[in-house]
Amino acid sequence: MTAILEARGLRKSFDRTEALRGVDVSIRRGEIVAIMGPSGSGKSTLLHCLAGVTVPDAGTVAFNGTPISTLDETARGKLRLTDFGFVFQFGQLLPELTALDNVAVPLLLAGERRGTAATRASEWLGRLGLDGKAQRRPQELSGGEAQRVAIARALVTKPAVLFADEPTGSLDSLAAEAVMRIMIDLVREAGTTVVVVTHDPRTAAYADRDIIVRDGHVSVALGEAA
Amino acid sequence: MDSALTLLGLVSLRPSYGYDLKQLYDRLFGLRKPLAFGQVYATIARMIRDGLLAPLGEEAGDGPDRKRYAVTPDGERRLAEWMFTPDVPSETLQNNIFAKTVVALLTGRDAHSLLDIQRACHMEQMRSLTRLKQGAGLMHVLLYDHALFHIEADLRWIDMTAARLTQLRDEVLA
Amino acid sequence: MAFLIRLALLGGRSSFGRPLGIVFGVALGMALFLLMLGAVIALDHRDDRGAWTEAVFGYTAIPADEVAPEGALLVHRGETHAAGAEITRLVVAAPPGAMLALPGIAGIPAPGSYYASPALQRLIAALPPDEFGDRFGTFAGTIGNEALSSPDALLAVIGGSPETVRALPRAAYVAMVDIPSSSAGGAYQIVILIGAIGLFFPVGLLIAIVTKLGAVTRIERFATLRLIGASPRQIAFVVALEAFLTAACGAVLGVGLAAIFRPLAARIPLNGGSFFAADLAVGAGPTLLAIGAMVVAAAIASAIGIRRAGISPLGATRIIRERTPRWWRVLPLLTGGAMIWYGAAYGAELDGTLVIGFIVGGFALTALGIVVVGPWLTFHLSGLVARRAGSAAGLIAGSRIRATPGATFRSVSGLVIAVFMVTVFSTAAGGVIQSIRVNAVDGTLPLDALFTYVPSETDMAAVVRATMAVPGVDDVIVGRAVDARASGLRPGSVAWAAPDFATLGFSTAPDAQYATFSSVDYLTLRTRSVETVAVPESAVGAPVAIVVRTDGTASTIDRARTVIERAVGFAAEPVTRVEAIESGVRQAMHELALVAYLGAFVSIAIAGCSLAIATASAVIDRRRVLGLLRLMGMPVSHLHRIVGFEAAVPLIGVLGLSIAAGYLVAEIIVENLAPEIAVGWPEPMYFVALALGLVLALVSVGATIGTIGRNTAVGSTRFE
Ligand SMILES: Nc1ncnc2c1ncn2[C@@H]1O[C@H](COP(=O)(O)OP(=O)(O)OP(=O)(O)O)[C@@H](O)[C@H]1O
Ligand SMILES: [Mg+2]
Repeated sequence: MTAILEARGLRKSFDRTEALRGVDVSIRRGEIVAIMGPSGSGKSTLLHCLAGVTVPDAGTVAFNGTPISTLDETARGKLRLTDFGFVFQFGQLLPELTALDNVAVPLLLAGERRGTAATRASEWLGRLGLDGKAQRRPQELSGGEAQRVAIARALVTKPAVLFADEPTGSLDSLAAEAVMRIMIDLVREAGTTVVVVTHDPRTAAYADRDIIVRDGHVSVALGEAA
Repeated sequence: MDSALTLLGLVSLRPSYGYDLKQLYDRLFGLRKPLAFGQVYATIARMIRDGLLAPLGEEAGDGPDRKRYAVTPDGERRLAEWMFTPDVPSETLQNNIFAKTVVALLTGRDAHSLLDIQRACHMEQMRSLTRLKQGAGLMHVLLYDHALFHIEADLRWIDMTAARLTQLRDEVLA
Repeated sequence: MAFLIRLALLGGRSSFGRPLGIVFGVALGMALFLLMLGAVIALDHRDDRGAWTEAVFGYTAIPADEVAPEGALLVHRGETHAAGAEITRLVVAAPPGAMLALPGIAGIPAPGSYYASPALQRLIAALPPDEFGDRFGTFAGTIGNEALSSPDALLAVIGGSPETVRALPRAAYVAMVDIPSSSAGGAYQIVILIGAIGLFFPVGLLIAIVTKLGAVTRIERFATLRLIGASPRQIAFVVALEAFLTAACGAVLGVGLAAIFRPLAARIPLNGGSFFAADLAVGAGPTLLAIGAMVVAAAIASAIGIRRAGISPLGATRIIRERTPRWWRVLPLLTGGAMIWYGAAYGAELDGTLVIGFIVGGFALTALGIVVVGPWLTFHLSGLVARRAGSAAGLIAGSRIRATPGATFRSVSGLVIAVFMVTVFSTAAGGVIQSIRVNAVDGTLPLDALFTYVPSETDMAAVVRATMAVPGVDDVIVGRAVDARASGLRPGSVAWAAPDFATLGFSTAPDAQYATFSSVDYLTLRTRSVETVAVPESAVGAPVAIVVRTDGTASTIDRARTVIERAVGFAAEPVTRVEAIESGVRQAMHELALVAYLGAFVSIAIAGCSLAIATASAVIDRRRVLGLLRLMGMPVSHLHRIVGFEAAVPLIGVLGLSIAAGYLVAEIIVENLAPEIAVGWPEPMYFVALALGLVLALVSVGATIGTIGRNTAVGSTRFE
């Protein structure tokens, strides 16, 4: 009942590679879920399908009970803008924009006025401990700081679901930890659902449970019993 | 962790009463398992016997509780030796999980689910440690991290093994 | 090295499109360059060929009243007009013993017959004989092309008896056809040569931009090469080699294109006529030289382009920030403007070459100044956009331009310069053309009237009678010779009777019975009346000039002209005031403007290509980032807007400047050098060129925008 994201029988092939071969996933509201598994097992593909970035060849994805795989690209774009946030491994900030403007972009896209957008963006930078860095450009930030800006950008629109693909993949343990802790604190506070793809068990350990993907299947997740 | 030598180290800070020693020990290391008073006094007695510790003066004179202890020169030497001798990485070559896996493969049981169960258990452990870590002081964070990194190492091994089970089976059955 | 080349060049999806872009740009530039070079050479060449008709004014011409040299021809060179065109008329007579042959014709025409150039034959056929053809007599043959400067040349060689020719004013003995060294085309040559060399600019720009695009699409490949140890110089060498080869293909293709388009290009009139296609052919030497120059320029431009792309072993993860443009960038523009103004305003007090130096130098500096100031303006404008933008598209585009104002401006600089040039030209030309429109002015020859001198021995009554008989002729007035010694007036003055002055176009009649005025002024003054001087009655002699008033239609005028010429003979050369004034000025301005538009069109076309490619490269460059925005939910229309903004901001910002600067420059030059000319609206053609430029910019940006959807489709980039 409380599933915010529900995937049934997802299949997706690229040319002859079968990335997903029948995946069922159910994610509850407010839950933090880690997707783990060997490289090339289909984790990112699963994430993209769940987020309405990729349309699966077969199967359905429902967000709050409404199927999203049948929506057209425009409608899915709107959904991603208002209800989803994204964080990737690196290179997701616009290089010409300051940290502040990077965070303001989704608000502007959502039709917010420039002044309000800037105020809210700087609030979020503050929450992520980036107070003095608002006017820096991405090249002038460390990897960890850039990731935190990306998280601020993903959360600034108060999305229902945050999708993160290897958010700590290019950070060392300490920076990874800082990023994860701050992110988890913020999403717990807001009750945001999080789907995070990671190789790193320490990152996955921040989640409430993990989903293991192997060869395009979700292996029977024994952890779910806990 | 050698609790006797740890206590010796705490005494080397300054001559102390047994009670203070226990308190200090518990604050620093007793997160999971505080020392029992009896254990403290038994350890002190053993170290006095070995000449590593000596009671200081004869204050008040009643009972072990009223005595302060100090480190002897022998004790200092022992302490330095302990501190600067590297710990040999534990050689658990005959690891239990490894043994279970091999036997499972030999006997045709499901090695995969064995590893999955183990993995789930490890992950659960990591999650609870991570939860504990949140809001903990730096000392405890480092302690939890130590545990986390060890579990992570096991997990990595489990993942590697799971990925190469077929090969392993061929070798085991050869 | 071979390995390196193979790695760097092969593979990649866009491998074919990119060299094609270079080939196309170079071919177009090369073809135009060759045609223009051909025109420069041909202008000289054909002038030499046509120069023999000027021989009557050459060294070897001897006035007809002197003793005839051995074997000489008697020649009279005159002009006649029809349907607005000017026809050169050589009347020749062969006295006994004449040996000289004229070029292009089989022999000296018998009296009463004529040879005509092909264009003249067409004109004769096109007009009723009583308007034109009857002036020449019987057709004897065609003047060969080898004696004509242009296929449009209107030339007649008419036979006459030695007596009649000798009697014509300005007739001369010509013993040999000498060729006066002509420099008539000099100004044209300079203009065209500058244009031809200027063509290298947009072509070079195009190559640099295409190379940059190639570098961007292959950035990972190059970065990997750098990582495994290739030096920047080696990479630049590989890329330059690629550009060298493609440019060579383009150049050869361009030579072919030039050959194909030569007949078409030859039809563009320059300096009074179009060309024979063969005239525009450029010899093997200059062609090879041009190919060499183009190819070397391409290699250099691409090497610079790849250096600019700044490929490090780490790829292009870190964008190279341009240095912020500083205020000094306004200086060249201001200096250029000041130079033009100074040269024009104080031209009278300066040495002539110095004035030209100031004006031409200032002009070049202004053009350069616009290119230099462009990034500065773009930077500030984009800052404004980035700060003020209320939309994500505005913010992103503004910030992007602010980070790379130079590169952004470079993509539109070709258009901007073309617009500047064409604005200057057409504003100035528009002013001149308007100013030489001939209006009716009190005290000058009325526009519907013909004027001609006639020999004093003419049977004037018969001429007047015949002329009056032409339908549409209203009045014929006779001017009389003035005895210079008796009156103290200038020899050659013509006296007119006071009652005739109203018909002559004067609102007030002179006090005296007869008065005279300068005939030249009477024909050519544009804004004021001639001054009249009283002539004592005793000094007035036989009729020597007539003025014919008509109904003003071209056919009446031409018919009257035919009648007069037939009645008086070749000494009569009736002209209207319009014909007397124009004498090619308007024609010249039109032609120059045409060349300017042609150059502008080509620059605009090439600049449009550059803009399209630069826009495409900006998209591909940021495929990942734009794709990410789309993934975040930005609609494709917003992405279109980003790219649109990035082209529009520099274009709008600097286009305004270049139009204003162009207008001002034209205004300064014209106001000061020719104060009587008012700079008005540019010609309609200008707006066509401007609109064309804008449409091309829109199309090229639009075409690229179309690729955005594809390039940023969520599947096209992997996000992890
Ligand atoms: N766009 C694509 N085109 C072709 N094949 C693809 C594409 N995306 C994914 N694949 C293939 O699908 C499979 C799953 O890819 P996916 O990116 O989901 O793996 P992953 O689990 O995220 O791996 P990693 O941990 O290395 O990121 C792989 O075999 C991959 O090669
Ligand atoms: Mg992945």
